[in-house]
Amino acid sequence: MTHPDLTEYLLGNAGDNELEATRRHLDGCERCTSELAGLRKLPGLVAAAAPSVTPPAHLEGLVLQAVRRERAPGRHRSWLPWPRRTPRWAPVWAGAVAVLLLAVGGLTVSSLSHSRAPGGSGTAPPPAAQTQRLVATDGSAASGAARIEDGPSGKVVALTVEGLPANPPGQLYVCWLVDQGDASEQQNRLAVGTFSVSGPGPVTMRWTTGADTAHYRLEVTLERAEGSPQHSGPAVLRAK
Amino acid sequence: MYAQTEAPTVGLVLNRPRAAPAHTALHSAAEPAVQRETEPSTEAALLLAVGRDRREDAFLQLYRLYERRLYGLGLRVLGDEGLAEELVQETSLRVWRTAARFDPERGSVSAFVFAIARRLAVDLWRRPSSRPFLPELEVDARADDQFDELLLSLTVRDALDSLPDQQRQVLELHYGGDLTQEEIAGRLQIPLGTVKSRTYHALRAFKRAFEERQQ
Repeated sequence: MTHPDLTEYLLGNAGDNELEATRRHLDGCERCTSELAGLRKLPGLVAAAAPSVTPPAHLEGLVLQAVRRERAPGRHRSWLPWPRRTPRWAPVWAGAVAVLLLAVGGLTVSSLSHSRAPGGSGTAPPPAAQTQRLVATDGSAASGAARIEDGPSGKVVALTVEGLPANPPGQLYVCWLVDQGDASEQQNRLAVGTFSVSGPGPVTMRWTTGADTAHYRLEVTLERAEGSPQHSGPAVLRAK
Repeated sequence: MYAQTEAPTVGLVLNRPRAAPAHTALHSAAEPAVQRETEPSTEAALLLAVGRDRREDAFLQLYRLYERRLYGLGLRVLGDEGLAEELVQETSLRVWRTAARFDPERGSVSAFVFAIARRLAVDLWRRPSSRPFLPELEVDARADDQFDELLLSLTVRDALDSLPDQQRQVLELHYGGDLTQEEIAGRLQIPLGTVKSRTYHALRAFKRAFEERQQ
């Protein structure tokens, strides 16, 4: 038994004779009827597709780094992995007992076809972390994202920037924590760190600051590398 | 889900563009049926290789299959690129750690991966510092229907994005943009016959790509 090409039928590309033959065939063929029903769902699916997104290029590398750390000999395997709240995959043992106690009373979340979701039972809320998105002040596609979280000696700022032009010779990018009252005539900001950019690809920096970052928004400026602690160059990225 | 007309991909090679199917009017009922009940799917083979042999190359292939969907899930549910990145990272690492628990008899790889992602998304959303970010859509990762619907739309997008640009374009214009084939021909400055042929191949390629992701 042969079966007609249902894609042509669905698209209306078949000739009259072929259409009629296909209709007759469908009357007696359960397989083709089922297949046609499936094909007919496809246009609706296409129309309901989610918008296209592009994950940042550095993400794959971060994940592979994390996996390689897991494989490193001597690494303690965290049997309660969720207390980590940083994408830097720091192994966490401290506080594991407390997290376990919280997890015992944790919520149940239904899974898909796996009745028990693999990969951990932790539901305890991790400590607070802060995320700031930075956009280009000149409307260009340059951007940044910073995660700020507790470190052993202050707040750790992990800033990833993308699309910034290479800094000219004698100049550096400076990341600042800018207070609401900051103005050019009376600056109220703290330098977090400096960095250079050599290409458009993403660059990630990590600094520790003793400041209470909750009161500041991040900004990146281009400054002359002259040792002055003051901000005088143009802002290139600013937290939204 | 749908009747199968092609043998499954085997081995540890995935997501490579396949040759467009021959444009034949008939196909034979004698074609071998896909033996999905006994033959592990390719994604399952990858995850088993990760769990059993700790193969980083298999993990990387699997990661690339899911990265966009996980990232899109994070953006839609959590409303922030940083949190979306964290969701991808945490989910991926959890998959690496727990791959040995995967049992193809109990469910698909996508169910395994997104069950992890869903739990993590809920936890991330509950994190107090996540609250300032409004999600792109009001999607509650705890609600089954909404979550499944979102996963479906992300899977469709992933399948569409895996097609050659020309094929994806005609499908999006025809079914997403409601243009007729004649209008598409005018828009793209190509003959109507080319539009028809391209749509035909695109629809079949999309069906395969979508089914691969629905395994």
